Amino acid sequence: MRAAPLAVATASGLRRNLAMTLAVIATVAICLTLFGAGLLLRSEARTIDGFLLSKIQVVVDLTDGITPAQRDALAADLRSDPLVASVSYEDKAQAYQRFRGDFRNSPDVVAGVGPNDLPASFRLSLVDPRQASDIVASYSGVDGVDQVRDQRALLEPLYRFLHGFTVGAFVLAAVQALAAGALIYTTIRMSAHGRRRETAIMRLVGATNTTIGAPFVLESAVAAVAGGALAAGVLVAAKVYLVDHRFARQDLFPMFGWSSVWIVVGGVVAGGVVASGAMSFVALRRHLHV
Amino acid sequence: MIRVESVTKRYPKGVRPALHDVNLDIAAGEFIFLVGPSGSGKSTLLRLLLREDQPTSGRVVVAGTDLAGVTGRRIPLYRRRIGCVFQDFRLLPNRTVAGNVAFALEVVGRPRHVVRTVVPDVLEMVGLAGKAERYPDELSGGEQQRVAVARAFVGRPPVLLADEPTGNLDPDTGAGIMTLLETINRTGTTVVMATHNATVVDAMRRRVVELDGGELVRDQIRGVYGYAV
Repeated sequence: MRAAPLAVATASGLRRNLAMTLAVIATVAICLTLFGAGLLLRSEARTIDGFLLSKIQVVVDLTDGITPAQRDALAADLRSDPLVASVSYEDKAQAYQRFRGDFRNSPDVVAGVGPNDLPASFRLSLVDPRQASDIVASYSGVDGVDQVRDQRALLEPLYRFLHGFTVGAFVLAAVQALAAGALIYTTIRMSAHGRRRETAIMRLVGATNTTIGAPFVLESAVAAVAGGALAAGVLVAAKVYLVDHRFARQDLFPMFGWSSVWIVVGGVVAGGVVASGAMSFVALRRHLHV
Repeated sequence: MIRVESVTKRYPKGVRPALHDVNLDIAAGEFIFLVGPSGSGKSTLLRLLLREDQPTSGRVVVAGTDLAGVTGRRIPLYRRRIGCVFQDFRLLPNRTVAGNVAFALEVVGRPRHVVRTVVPDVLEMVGLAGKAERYPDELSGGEQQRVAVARAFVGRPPVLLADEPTGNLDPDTGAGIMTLLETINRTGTTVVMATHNATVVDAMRRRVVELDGGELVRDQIRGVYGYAV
């Protein structure tokens, strides 16, 4: 079929099922927005992880009664450990100075802690900070060691928060995808029923299955592109409003950039079009006897 | 042009075959009437010729093509060589007369300049040159059937199948449609027409093939409608 009659047939089908088409567009838009948001949250979690991993250390707190020989032996063990990239020693006075710096805005907290209250420690940078649990297991209980702390564990709530929102967005997107699939299926079924006379005539005059089915698939694709465009608009607006303005001044960790947004937008729109095309194909096989 | 060899067609729920051991040879350019009471197998035979169905046993060959080998994607290509006219016209109400005829060319991908040239010619031939922009509901039954004939013939098929084309028309209008089918037949197109219209069969005195209970009971050159005894 030539492009012009195909476009006319597609436009006619969209007009005929306008209400259903709008419902498909809205559902696809919500689905793709949630899916895109999930992808951006996951991207943000990775961005934060990558940024913080280089700054995170494992801290080996020493007991007050550790002997110089025990401390030197422990230092030698740590420096020869293949998981450890670098080792630095912090005595009680340095620990107190760091504490005063960290809590300079909370004089009440500083006033309650004396120079001898904080332990001396070895601060370790690891070759792979994700292997901190191995270090914790290896050096906990060693003579002269009070406790081994993985600073990454302090960030667990943040990771859980990001992970929870990511999973939530994906679950909601999956539910919306089911709704969108059902809507597309129903729309095709209604459209096939409404056009049964036309398709019967097409069959009689020798139209191929592709020609008969093309307007239906195109209708779904147009609805998916429209829904994808809306989703892209929402994701771009979220980036501009939330990342570039609302959270622009926070400097705790970096936020995802435009490249992530464009990749996600391209992915969700393409995915939406392909998925809706596939659903139309399934519905056509079931309801359009060509 | 058409060869039906020992064709039997059984439907899963039928108590007797819709067609039983039917043999028929139709030469290129022939005009034949298929007659017989309702349920005699006329429409089943037309469905087999159109490759909407396949025989349970036997062979159907149309224009050198064994229809048993025409499957899946090749069916549309085969149907482009067959024109069809039905009792209920089967026109698209939202398309004009010219649009309905052009539809048959558009869906098989014929270029626009061909459509623009061929459609007026065929409308002229069926006597609807002045009504190209009318819609089907603005036409009489006879005119609607002329549009259907134009659509069936616009691709110049070698075979035209007509299933009760005068069934919904008064005698005078039906006679006009028959004249039109004769005109098409004179161009060399083989016409196979299933009908209950005794008047047109008796008037035209063409070959008559009679089916009864799925069996071919009469094959008469220059025949008449009356059933075989």
